[in-house]
Amino acid sequence: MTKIETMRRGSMLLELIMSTALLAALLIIVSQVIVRLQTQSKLVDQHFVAQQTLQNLLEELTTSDWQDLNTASISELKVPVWVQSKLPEAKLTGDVASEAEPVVAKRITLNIVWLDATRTTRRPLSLTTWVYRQTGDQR
Amino acid sequence: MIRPEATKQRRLHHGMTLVETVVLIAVSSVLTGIVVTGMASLFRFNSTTSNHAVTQIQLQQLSNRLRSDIHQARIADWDEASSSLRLDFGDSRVIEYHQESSRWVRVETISDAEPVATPFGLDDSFYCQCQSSKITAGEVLRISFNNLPPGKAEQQSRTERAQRLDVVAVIARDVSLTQD
Repeated sequence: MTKIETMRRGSMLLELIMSTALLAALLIIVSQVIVRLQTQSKLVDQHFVAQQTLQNLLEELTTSDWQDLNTASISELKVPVWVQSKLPEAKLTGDVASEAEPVVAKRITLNIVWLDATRTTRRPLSLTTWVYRQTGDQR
Repeated sequence: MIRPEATKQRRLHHGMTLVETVVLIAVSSVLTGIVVTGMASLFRFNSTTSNHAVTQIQLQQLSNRLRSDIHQARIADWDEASSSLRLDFGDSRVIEYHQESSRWVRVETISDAEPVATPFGLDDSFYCQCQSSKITAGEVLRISFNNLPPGKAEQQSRTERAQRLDVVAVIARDVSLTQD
């Protein structure tokens, strides 16, 4: 009887320690999941901004004159200031390729790279469009 | 007279001591505090993240729709006072983007028919700015939706949850392509 009583009283602290340890382990797991979710959410946000930026820049490029549309005109493009704050160290690259078949056109490809939340450079996001030669455009 | 055996038995049978009770209460209140704080921040995070994601989808839909409309329109009129964009298609078809009942809506009117309103779900916390008041065919329309007031738009980098959509599109781009 005395032994049983002693054991019951002693297990009180042990139970408490175990439950604290379990709770701590759970909290660590949950906080890690939250951190990963936040990182993913930020990545999706950045992807959206990058995609919109490329779309806008391509739209501006397509308004250029046919003869001015070349790789040099891409190097003049600038990433807006507010986009730079969302996409750290964002860099724009691109290419203009002339195509003769099936119709005379210029294929414009724009790429954007930036540092993500883990400060690593991801695979660049690319967008391509074609500009067709209109009547009156010089070769 | 009390027998020594009875005294020992009573001592063994007693409940928790005051110190044990106090320690127990202290430890459990600390644990409860941690759990409650953790749960509260979890709920807050869930609410913020889902709101952000929903707004992002709405911005994407708005962007797609607006680009498509601008490419087909012939004239765009921006009214700064009412924050509304009017796109004229030149064939008695007019589309207007403005705020209605604290929501951004797209209202399409064809001739004398009843206007058709499509709400975008974006609330009036989004400000809209356009660079020019009248843009004609072949010109570039630049319009921006931002959930920060115009004067505070520069603070974008410091506000993690700030959301912005910039749309740059050429008026009547698809019309000229069709004609050629």
